[in-house]
Amino acid sequence: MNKPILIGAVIYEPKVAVIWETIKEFFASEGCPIDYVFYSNYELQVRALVDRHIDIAWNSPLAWLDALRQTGGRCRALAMRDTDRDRVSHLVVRAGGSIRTLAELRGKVVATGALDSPQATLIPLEVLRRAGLTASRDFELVRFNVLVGKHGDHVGGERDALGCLAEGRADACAVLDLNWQSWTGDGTVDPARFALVATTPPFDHCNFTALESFDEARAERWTATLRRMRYDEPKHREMMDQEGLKAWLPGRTSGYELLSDAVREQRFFESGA
Amino acid sequence: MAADHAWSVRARGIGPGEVRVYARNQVLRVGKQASLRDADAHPSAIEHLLGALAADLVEGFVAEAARRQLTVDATELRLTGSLDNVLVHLGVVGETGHAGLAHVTGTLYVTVDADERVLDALWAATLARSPLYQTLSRAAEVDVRLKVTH
Repeated sequence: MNKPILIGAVIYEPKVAVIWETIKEFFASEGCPIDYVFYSNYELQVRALVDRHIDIAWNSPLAWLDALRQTGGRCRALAMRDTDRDRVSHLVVRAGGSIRTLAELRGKVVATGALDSPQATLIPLEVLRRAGLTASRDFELVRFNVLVGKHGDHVGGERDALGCLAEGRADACAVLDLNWQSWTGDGTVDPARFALVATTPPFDHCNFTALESFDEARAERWTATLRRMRYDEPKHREMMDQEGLKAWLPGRTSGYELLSDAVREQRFFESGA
Repeated sequence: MAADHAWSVRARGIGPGEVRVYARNQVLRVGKQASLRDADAHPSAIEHLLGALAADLVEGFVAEAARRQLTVDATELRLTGSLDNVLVHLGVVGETGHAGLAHVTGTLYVTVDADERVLDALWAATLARSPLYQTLSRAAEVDVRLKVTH
């Protein structure tokens, strides 16, 4: 029997299970059976990958770095969404205020998402550090720790930080470009009330991570099957829309340097966060 | 000593997403335990349970009204149920809580010509004599209101 490849995924929203059921059906129809295991947080999922309870993990960028850390770098990024590449976060302030540069955030209040959110906390704080501003020393940091462990997948903390800025309780916050586009497009945010004071350098987001020891032929077969999903195929399109992509691309590892610097400078893993 | 009577059903798995349940001379087709999809071939087990409670209360209300010689012109009951933690049902590693129903809420809309005092008594009797309400309300928070429309 063709043994299913076991995929791990972190979910917080029940509807996500439907996406995985669709993916499972697609892989079965392509003769490359998979099954999935859901985890409540990335720490458990990375542990399961390292312990080989699962073959492949759908990892956040922070979970990717954690897997590298725990395996001494012996991981591969098999695939990612087109939308996982070259993301940026915007540092947002209120429009018409006195803050026009990052330097002018000195002595101010910066609101962030969950402490483990790459896009709404870790990377923006690294960008501020590179601009000479360190949290607690140069500005007051207010965190919105919504669903810690899910690495900011749940945008609640990011949205709460933006709300905090809107209410005048903070002077800046950080928002992922895709969320900014979505929220300004659907009316959640009135863009006229805000200004973008800076944008981070590009960084990559999630990837499907396997250990180096995962069978090469199975990995290639799985990756080739995944990449046969097509956005112009109606059966795939709904799932791809829900997952936010138009094409699966090969995994690349060159887009994690900014986050890697962030976790090192903020001693994220050492702090036991 | 309480009188005793037992009801029996027989269930057979037909294939993925379909179980046939035989009850006396009737057949029910049940889909998944708790589906999250927008559409399926068959109602889920949860929907059957909510549907059974809804039917029990509607039928019970009409029967109680008939005992009081009241004519019910129309009834409609909408129920919504949620699990304590649906992620436990989905098997998410690390989640806590349980997969059972935690809350059921809804409103029974009725068109009936009766004063408030009579309707209150009628509704209380309906709930008291409802096998499913009396079962579920001991296991979950069940809040079903009566509303009269004209």
